Amino acid sequence: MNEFEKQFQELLNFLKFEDYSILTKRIIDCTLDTENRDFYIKTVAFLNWLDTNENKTTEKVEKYQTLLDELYAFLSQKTLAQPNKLVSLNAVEKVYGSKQFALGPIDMELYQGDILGLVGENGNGKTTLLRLLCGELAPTKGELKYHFKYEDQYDLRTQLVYIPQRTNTWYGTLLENLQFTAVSYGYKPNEIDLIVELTISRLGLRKFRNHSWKSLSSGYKMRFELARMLLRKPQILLIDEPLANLDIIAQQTVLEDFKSIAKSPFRPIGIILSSQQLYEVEKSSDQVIFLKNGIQKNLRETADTPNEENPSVEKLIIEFESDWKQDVLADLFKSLAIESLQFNGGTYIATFPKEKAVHDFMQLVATQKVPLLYFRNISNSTRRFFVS
Amino acid sequence: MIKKVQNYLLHNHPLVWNTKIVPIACIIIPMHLLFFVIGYYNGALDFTETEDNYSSRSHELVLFFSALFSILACIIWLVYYLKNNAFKAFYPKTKYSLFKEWGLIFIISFMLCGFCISYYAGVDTKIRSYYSENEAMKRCKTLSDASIFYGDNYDSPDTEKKLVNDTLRDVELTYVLFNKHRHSLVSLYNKSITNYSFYDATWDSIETLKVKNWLVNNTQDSVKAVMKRFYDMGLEQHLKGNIDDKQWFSLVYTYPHFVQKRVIEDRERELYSPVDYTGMPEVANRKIDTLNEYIKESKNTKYIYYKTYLPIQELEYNYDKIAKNYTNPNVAPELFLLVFYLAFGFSLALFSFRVTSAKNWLIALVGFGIVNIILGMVTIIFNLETFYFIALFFISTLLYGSIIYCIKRNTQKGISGVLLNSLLWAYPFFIPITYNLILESLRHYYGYYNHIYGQFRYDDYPVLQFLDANKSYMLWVNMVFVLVMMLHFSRVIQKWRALADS
Repeated sequence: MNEFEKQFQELLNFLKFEDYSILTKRIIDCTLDTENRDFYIKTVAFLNWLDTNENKTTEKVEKYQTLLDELYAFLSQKTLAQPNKLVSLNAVEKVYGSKQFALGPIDMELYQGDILGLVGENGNGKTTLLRLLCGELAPTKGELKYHFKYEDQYDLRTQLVYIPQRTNTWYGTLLENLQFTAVSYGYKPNEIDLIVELTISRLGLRKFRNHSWKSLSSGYKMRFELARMLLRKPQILLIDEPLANLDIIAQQTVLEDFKSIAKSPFRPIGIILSSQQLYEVEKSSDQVIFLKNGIQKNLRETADTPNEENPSVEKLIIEFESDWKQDVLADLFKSLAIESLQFNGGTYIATFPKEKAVHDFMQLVATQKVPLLYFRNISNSTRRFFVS
Repeated sequence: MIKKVQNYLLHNHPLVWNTKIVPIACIIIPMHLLFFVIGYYNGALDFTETEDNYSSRSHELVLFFSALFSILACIIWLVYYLKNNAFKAFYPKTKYSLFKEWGLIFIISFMLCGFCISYYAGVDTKIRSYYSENEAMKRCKTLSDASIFYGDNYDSPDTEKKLVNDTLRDVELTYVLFNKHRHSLVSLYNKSITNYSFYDATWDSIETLKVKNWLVNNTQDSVKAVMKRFYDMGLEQHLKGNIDDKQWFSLVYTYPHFVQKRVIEDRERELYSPVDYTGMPEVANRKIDTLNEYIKESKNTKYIYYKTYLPIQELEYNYDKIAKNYTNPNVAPELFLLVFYLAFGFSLALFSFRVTSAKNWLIALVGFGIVNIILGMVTIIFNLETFYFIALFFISTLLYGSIIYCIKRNTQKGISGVLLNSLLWAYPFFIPITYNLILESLRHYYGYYNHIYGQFRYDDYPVLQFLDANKSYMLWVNMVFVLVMMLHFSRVIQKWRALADS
């Protein structure tokens, strides 16, 4: 079963379990993957039908099934993309003129289909690294190499989309802006309206197409930026703090969107995103880079080395909250050969030798009836960099 | 309708859509038509007007309003045009996309700056609508021929060298020599025809000779025919004197010597009542030429009236206008050149703002101003005539070199954005500066400044003469240069834009 078939199986499950919202999104993804106007027309017609006939369940399921079958028949004939290397950084450094701040050396590689998370506290170089990668800043030292085809520097920058944390205002109607982007990126005149319709539907913006930029919330502004990004068909999407202004549900939705966009079997892209939402980013990313004072610390080296099998840390680190005092807890965890117990802003960080496992910790806590409000194994999380 | 067109352009020609040329053209073109109509109305001739008595139709006021409207239309356009900037957002661009964008900006700028062209085109069209060029030429010829037979504007007598008190002096002759015969200084033989711009001095001389030969040969029919045509031209515009063509003929046609006692005046009366220093009318004390003049009171003021007059002033004034409009129209290449350069200037300023940034643009503007002030001061203080041009020449070259170097290094923009703005504003001056430098150098070389004003003989120095006479051609050539260089710069700017900011 290839990547497409695996993903298609997921779609069938969404239909089976009546998860229509995500199913619709993924159908749009598949439609965009076809790069075929006939499918654009079919899906847009289906979306329009759905707007007014959402409650006609039987008919709806039939239509979903028909569309899925057609998409499968078409896409199963299409050649799958082989994930290529997009960019590599070799000891890249960026020193600002007055040497107030230096980033690097940074070593990293990004492949098509990968999501790379940049985490770190404010002012530690996340935005600088993103700006380096999108060509806005030039490295002071080291080698920054793009591995896809481009004619010249301008052409390269057309293939790198950087969405800053503070997005620029869009003037004019949102629809016109998106149509302008689509036509600028080579969509044929008779495809433009369809592709824009699909894109805004993909990001749940159908209701907002006639709004003005100023009337949108920060979250929806980010979504429109993502819609524009989709139309730009970038090789790499660089996005600064995309989760900053989103509620928890929206964060999960956006991360899920990133995943499905990046991992398209036919048109994969690389995504590098910075965020302070550690757990959410870690869940969605193939690689995570932690930056502290501009210095890189990798959580996972590459996407091919998953953390469970080849953890980059050797100790068991547990973060938890408890009403018990530090000295009482320290005495209690002596039996697990605790190495350190830090109190860090309302939570405890306990470090144990690598031989200990999380269930040892849980067993002790359960037998001793330690009142726990929350606990998390952060051995393989960048959280440990924050607290160490 | 406009929405549909814009939608079509958005889908098919995004660059054209982005420049908003269609909506702004929908505003500008009707305004051009309006200015044409105003010009047409204002260009109407009033045949009762004379050199001394014309109702003021202020072109300046119309041009002021056209400038005001240009500014307003420009602001409206900029609000919409500056909404989307695909270049700054790094959308894909073809090789000459920036050049095309500048071309569209230039067309819009030309339309915005060119209301005066439409206005003057209206004026010219109206003036030319009275008579075709051939007809106007014929009529001006009639006026020229007839001018021998009216007025008392005799030519100055010739002089001859005579020994007066042992000194050789120029002494005025008391007669005029024509056809080997001596004639009185107040004879028709001592008159010249009135010039109209259709004709040059040689034609005037030949025509004068032709009319005087009628007199010599007593060709009365030809004279009568001219007078009749003149009289009819007046009647056509409801203009009459107090004599008709026959009376006119009998008064002035005094064969064979044509000595004139009666004067055919060009108006009914003197324009102003002559007053002395006490404010009292002087008319009573003035010596009146009773043969030709008389005093008459009009609205409690005494004026000197003429006994014989024709509507000459009115006809001369209006036909002169028509002739000048054909030979030197308002809508001339020079006006186009002026508007072209205005549009060039504005389009380049806007284009540089669009492709760089507001910050770079403003710094460049301040820098450009400061550099010019310094150069100007140095030029004045040290009295270095060509220093300003030489300095500008080197600064332009330096700017170009620095931009190319910056792109070749392919590292970061630095202050090159400011330099790029300055370069885009400076390079259109490159050819005019070089041209003036060469011209000045040749003037110094050939000793132009060593001669008394007006005495330098250009004929001896054909190169200098050529350069001095063809400045406007140089400006047209410069326009081609600006266009070609913009093609080159559009590529340079695209490469520059992709450089890292810092």
